[in-house]
Amino acid sequence: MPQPEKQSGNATLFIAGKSWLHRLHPFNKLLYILLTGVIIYAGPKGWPVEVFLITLNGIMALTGGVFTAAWRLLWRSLLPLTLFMITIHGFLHADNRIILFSFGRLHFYQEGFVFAINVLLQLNAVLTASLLFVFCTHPADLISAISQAGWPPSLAYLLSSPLLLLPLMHTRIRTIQAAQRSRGLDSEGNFFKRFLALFPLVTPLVLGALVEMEQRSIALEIRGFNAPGPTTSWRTIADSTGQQAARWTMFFLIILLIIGRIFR
Amino acid sequence: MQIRLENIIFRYSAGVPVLNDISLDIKKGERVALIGHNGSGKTTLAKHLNGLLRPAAGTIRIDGRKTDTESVARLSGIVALLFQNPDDMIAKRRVWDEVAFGPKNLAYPEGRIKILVAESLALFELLPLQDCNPYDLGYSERKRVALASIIAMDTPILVLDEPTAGMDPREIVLLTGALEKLREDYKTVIIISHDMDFIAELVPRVICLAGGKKRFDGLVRQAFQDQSLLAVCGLLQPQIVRLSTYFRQTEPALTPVEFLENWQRRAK
Repeated sequence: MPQPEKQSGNATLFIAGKSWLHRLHPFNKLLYILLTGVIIYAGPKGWPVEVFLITLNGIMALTGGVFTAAWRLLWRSLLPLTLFMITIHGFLHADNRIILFSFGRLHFYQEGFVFAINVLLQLNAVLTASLLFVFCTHPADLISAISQAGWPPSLAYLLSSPLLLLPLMHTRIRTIQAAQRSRGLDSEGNFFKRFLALFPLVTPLVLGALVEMEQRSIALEIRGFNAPGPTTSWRTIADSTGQQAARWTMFFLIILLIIGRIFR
Repeated sequence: MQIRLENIIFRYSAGVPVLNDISLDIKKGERVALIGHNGSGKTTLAKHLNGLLRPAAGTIRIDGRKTDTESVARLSGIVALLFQNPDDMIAKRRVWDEVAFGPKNLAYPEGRIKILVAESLALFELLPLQDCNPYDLGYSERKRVALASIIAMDTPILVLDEPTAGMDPREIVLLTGALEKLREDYKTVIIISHDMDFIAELVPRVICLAGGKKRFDGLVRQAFQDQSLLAVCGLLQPQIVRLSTYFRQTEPALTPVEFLENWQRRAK
């Protein structure tokens, strides 16, 4: 079947909404990801902690209105990994002792299975925390938060430009693809044909991106991007004493967990 | 090749249609202009002709054959489409290779490719630049490369989206020459443009779109005399038509030559 030209969608994962999770300060969400990661790798071990974190993230996603989207992305990315990990470790893990079941001479072991499940739970906990951030934080809010915190705007730009450029690149790829298909480039059909069809896209895309980057930096420069003195921000990110307290609490917890891990 | 569009409806997403019930017939060898304000649906309509977009309802026939099951790659041998921005098209490191890209994709024999490329390069005075990297050239030169690469595909139908944008008067004369050559070869040419002076001089028939609907389909002279149509379509009369109207010439001139002829006739 011929493929009609698709229209570009939003290439960031942000889902518009007005929930408490959307309103939460971006730094709090970022620190929460870091805290989850540190708890997993430096905190108390065992599946109850991981299950608790996943459940907590699930409840947050539910109240933030992004549960369905998170679930859809999660199972798509984790299912292949789950099948792969369980098979590999169940059959081949170095500590395998207790046989759960056998296919002829092939044995599936308990230790490998438990190990795979544990790693998957850990991954799931960090991934769900990250999804809460990417689904509920507009890239522009992150930039505003960074510049409001008094960090140099160039840092905010450096961090966020890939996110903001993604939708533009996405649109450009579609246009270039359409232009090349109009000139008889067969990008439909088998894998090999599609692979070959990628090459003529590269030159216009890369050169276009370079030209765009140069023009963007000039445009920013002539509009006073590097002007000395504090800048005003159009978007203001709501913050509160409570949120600040939560940030500091998370920060100290992270430090404590790391210190605890070092001296354990 | 004859193009027939019947009741074409298209929307990008659920909501207001971008093309609303468009029907039109274009005969083989005809030169037609698609005009209208930005966002009126001109480019969207053009992308339907080579299958880049598919209508939600309605049919497109080229030479009586429905195109809805044909792939873009196959249709590209029948309809060549010039994109507004040459940089979306240019993919090769040599001007010659760039112009040969389309004919090679269409699997023309080597001898034919050489002739087509040489002819197209000559039309736009690009032969001395044939070994240059297109990205070392200026914007309007790249635009000429893009035009040459579309003409080299030797398709019976050509759709040119804003062919004059960014070109200087000398380059527009080259384009005019190329259009004459296409007329001699009996090719159908559809031009999308905001350059009303260019259209008044070179295109006998115009189709005006506004808000995704066809508002007018007829002679260019009629379109430029209809003030309410021009207002609806967000268009301005060409300068020569305005001058001609100012001097109350009975038949508004479309070209400077016509203007002078009207002037001399009245003087007698």
